[in-house]
Amino acid sequence: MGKYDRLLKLIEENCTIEQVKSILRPSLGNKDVKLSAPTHKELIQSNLRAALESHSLDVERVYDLLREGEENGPQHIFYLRCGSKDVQSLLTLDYMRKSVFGAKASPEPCLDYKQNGFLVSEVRAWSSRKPADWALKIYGHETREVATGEEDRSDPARIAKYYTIEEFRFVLLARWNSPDLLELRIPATESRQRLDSWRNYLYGTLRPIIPFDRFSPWGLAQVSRRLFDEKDKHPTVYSLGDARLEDEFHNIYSIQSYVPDADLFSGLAADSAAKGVLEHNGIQKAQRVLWLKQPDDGFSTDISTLVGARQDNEIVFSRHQNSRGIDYVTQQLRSFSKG
Amino acid sequence: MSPSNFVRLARAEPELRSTYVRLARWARTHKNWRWIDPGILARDIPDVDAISLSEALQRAVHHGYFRIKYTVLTPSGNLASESFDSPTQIPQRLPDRFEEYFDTSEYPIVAVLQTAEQGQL
Repeated sequence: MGKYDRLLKLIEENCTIEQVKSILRPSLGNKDVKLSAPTHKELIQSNLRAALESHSLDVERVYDLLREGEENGPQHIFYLRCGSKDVQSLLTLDYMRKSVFGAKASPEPCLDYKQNGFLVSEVRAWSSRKPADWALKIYGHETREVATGEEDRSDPARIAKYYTIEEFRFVLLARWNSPDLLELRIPATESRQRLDSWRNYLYGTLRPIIPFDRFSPWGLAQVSRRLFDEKDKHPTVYSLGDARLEDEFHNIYSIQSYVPDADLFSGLAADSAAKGVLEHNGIQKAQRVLWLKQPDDGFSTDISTLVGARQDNEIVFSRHQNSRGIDYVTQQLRSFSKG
Repeated sequence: MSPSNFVRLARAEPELRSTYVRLARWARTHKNWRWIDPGILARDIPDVDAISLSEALQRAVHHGYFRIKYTVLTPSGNLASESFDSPTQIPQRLPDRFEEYFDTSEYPIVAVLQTAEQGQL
């Protein structure tokens, strides 16, 4: 296998034409850098490869492109908070790298995967904007039997149903968001059981390294309540949609808009119904929050999230985002948890 | 949903003017809806005859104000968050509004109109 084969294959699977062009464009004028290609595949396998092989493009930029493409799909984030200064100062990038890989940690990510298993890809710095932050990334792989819907009924005594075997590759990510927040990021999946098992795997990988007894789940119910109470003060930041509320007798109320991502509580009926529950010691079990696009903060489409979901410290990002958009949401949740 | 789009359409399609004026009035109370379910719309404005409404929506699509997309009703009876260019692209399972997956084959497919970036009038 050639030096860049696996990297380029993953780029092909995870990145759009526009994303690939965006990293080639600044190198235009350098040797072997071209933007035009008849297909997505050729843009990557021919143009991007040539730019890499001629050293006109730094491979780290291509790794960053891959990270952007494969780490920010629909996902669940579970937040854990640590108030201990000792633990906070322990969890440096250097400590994590040495704990996971020993002294000979490679500066480049491992792009391999383990058939029907998990493999740590990298422990890396998160961004230059927050030098104390890091991420630990794991590649998971599964083969799944998927029903084709095709049946053979030629034998009257039995029915044969056909399945195809599909390969499924995914990313588990732990992100340290300094000074005190650990995020366990798990891709969205149809099966709750699968989601739990992936989260348990990530947790189990980190357990020998991170003192989880010093962490506690960061419950978001109070944040949701504040978002509800202050929704009219921040019309350019967010709007609220579907909500699942629980009253003091543990009765559950679900309020949902007919069309998705509507500003549900701008309607008087929905607003007074929710207030009625919340003002009688009710809480938001789950709250859909639409974070409005902020091009200056690096994302130019609205971000639809479900705060709370099944666990109080869980948030679901329903669609693909960019990493700055996801970080923006966490930053907003932090801001609304203060004061 | 911007009422001004229907006002522009009223100017461009004089024979459907009264229907677009009525749609503009409806849009003023549904400004935060990004999708139109024509079935729900017809129930909301029963005073507009179905043929005129259908023609007005088709013209709006033709002028680029909307795209036709397909989705399904969730078990709660509202529209699923994802939409598709063709009914055949709807996956076997989709999440409802609280991210619980359901079997789409058990629920009706709905054609919706989504607001496009800009019209072509």
